[in-house]
Amino acid sequence: MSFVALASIVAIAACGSSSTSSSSTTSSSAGAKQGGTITIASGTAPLSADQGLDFTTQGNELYSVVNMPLLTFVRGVEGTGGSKIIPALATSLPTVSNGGKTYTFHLRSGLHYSNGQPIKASDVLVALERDLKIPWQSASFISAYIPGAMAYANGKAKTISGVTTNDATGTITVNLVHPFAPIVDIFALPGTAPVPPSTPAKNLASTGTIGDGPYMWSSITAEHQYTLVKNPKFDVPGLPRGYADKIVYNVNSNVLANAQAVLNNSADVFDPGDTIPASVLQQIKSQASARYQAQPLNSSWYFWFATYKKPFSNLYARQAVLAALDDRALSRVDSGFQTPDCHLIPFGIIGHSNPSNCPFHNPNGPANLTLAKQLMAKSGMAGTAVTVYGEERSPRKQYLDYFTSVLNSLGFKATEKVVNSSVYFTTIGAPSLKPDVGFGDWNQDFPNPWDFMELFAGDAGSSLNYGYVNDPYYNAQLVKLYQQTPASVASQWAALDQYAVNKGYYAAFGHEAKPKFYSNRLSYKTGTLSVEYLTDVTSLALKK
Amino acid sequence: MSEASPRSQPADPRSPADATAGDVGDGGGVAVGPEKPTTAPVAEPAAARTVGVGPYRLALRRLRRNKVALGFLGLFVGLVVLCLLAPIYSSDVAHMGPNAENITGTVGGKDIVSPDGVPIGPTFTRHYFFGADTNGRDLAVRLLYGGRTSLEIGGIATAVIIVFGTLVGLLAGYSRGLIDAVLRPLMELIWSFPPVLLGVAVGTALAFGGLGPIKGNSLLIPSFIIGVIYIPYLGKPIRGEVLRLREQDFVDAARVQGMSPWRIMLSEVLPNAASTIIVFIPLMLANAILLEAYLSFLGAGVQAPNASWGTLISDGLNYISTTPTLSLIPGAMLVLTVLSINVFGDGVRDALDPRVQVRIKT
Repeated sequence: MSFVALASIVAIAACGSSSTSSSSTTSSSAGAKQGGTITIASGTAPLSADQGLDFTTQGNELYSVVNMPLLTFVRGVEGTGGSKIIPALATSLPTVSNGGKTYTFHLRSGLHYSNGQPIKASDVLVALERDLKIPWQSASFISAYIPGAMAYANGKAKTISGVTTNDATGTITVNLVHPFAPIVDIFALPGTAPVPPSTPAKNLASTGTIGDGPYMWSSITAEHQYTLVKNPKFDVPGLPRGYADKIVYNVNSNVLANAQAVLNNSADVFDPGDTIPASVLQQIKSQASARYQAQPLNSSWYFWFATYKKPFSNLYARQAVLAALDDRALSRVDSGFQTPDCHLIPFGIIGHSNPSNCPFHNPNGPANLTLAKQLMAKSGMAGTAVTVYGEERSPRKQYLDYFTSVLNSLGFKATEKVVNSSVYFTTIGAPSLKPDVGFGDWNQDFPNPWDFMELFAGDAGSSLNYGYVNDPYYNAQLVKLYQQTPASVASQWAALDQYAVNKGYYAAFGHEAKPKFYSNRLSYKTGTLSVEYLTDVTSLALKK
Repeated sequence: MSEASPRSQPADPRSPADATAGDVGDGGGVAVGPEKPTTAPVAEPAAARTVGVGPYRLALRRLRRNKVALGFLGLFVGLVVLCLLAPIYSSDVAHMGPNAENITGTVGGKDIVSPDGVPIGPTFTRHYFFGADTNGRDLAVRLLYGGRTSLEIGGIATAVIIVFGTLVGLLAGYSRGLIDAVLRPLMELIWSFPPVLLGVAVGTALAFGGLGPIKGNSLLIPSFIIGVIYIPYLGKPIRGEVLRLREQDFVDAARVQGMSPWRIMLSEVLPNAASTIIVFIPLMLANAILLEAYLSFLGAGVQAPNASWGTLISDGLNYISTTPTLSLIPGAMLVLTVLSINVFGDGVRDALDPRVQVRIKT
């Protein structure tokens, strides 16, 4: 595969040719003011300010402007156009050789971290090694595809043999076990951004790492407040430097209070990772319609099952649950922000299937309780005790109540475990827990169906594949498909999604629109709700 | 009406001061003496005997005259009865269980939960009398079941407090020495933590992991947490009371007769400390119900999908501007319950300790 071909593929994928969700719009800087302080009100804290550990949308909003990787997703563009990958610290997109198994990057010269230290090519390797040591929540993105990465992670090697760097020439060469198209996307994630060699290989939750992006950490009170200020050393041509001098990210689990604060202009941005409660939504629509919009982004919400143990090792038991779900009910619980669907690949990603293909019930109709009861009777699992895991944050807790109610109506003996949202995914992903069933959601990291389907891969690790699904056919298809460009195998991705739905590996129930809701202090047109970053911090600007 | 502090120690109703007030108040001309020795009765000449009325009967007489206290007792009993009838209301009136959801259904031609997620308000009909919550559950049904839960936890917690608080107070006060040296600091340690913070910390941990064979979602978890937290609130006053009683002549007499310490504690000291315990029962019940509501409101008490008044208030907060009844109605039930217990508790205290009334009157 040539570089040109790959670049085209990335561009095609980024543009989302099959998207039905949204068109791309570029924000306008007219009326935007330089400087000032902008506050974001979020219901959930990032797991960590350290991009070497965290993989949450809340964290990504912040450290994506602190830790700039070799490549980046274009900023200031809404809709699927925001998935376009452009060079950041690299001089250009990587050259691809060796049959798609070698990617070569060239670092721009004269770059510096926010502390003035020069950035070297070998710092990228330092970051990758650090990701494996901490480990990064998506460490499998590296360990499964780069030779020697797993050995390094296990302490059996002193470095990642598949990555070589040359500080003199600024060259970074990444070799792969086999062709892996999403590697370009992965090198656009902040987790792969270079860090100074002196950065400790441990989670720096309350300080973050020294960065190289347009902003840098000013102060962090973990789980409460995260403050960014402009990085005066940032100087990468073509990348936005941001408008505001200071960004304050306040965490308050009361999302109603957050929404009201933005409505009353005492906070500036309602974090789009949260759902605006229905109680205040009507008020916002009527009183602040000029500064509120719900935009479809690429996300999927689902329940996962532990497929290796009873009762959900039983195919009929899983299928019964799928048949008994009423996606419309779940959408109402989410203030109507959900578009019901049983598939994991969302509308804006290549490989999306039509919701009418959902086998167990029509997502836009009622649950098929007759079928559900038949399947349940076949399963023989009635009376089995299960613990259902979910988050405390609205509407996730309400999902949990609903799902538990459905399981009990089917004859399971379901009880709930509500986990604090900031530690929910680390809790259910802990290898020692091995939970029965629970809630999950996934927002697009990059415009590739693999990003979603990988969640149920046998090698995804417990931090993503909470139900430990391990289907040889599914795994083999993933390996086969991720070596191809998504557009060339779109129907096969759709078929794999359909296969997993039929197998009941997940009970996906919809794709969520996200709120773009600002105070009237901000320039609404300038601000960008990014498909990659949610709130694009560099686009936030006070009105002139 | 001021609420008696649970930290205050009610005076012994059989003190000489009591006797005076009681005698005058009851008009019976019957002396209610100081601590009543329960052993070694001394034979009196038949002619000198007077017809005695026990201190508890006197207290009951005083309580019967306290119409306000009795009125609030009636209110409390009414609330309890209402909550006990929850299963009947659920099955025969609302036809819906407390955790049954109907998000996409309609009642009276209206969506129970609108497409953009707003639950229906009170219908004042048999279905969704007080409206629905976000998950399309009948608030009236959950309110009654939630009341059962709150009262159940309050009741169990109060029983734990009374049994263990009394035991700890008796042991520490009577034994002194090593036992007191261990139990007293232990009570001080628990006492020194703010109850809500301690409850949240322990409740959160136990709600997730459970406690031995007890699962995390069991009502016993918050019951025991609340009970343990409040043990010193009774244990300390009882200890003080026992320290005083153990020096009394009738206890010395029992010792001289060769009674074992346990027997002295149970048959001599405990009956004389009983009024203190009785006064604390309603206070502890009210405090336990309130603490349960705090903990459940904060997610460290009753676990979803089970309802208590605390969880219902919490669940309704997000809808306070559109459907305020979701929080206000369980809040009102909580207020009425605690108020009725407290007012009745004040009446019980006044009946057992007339000096308080005397002080107020003067």
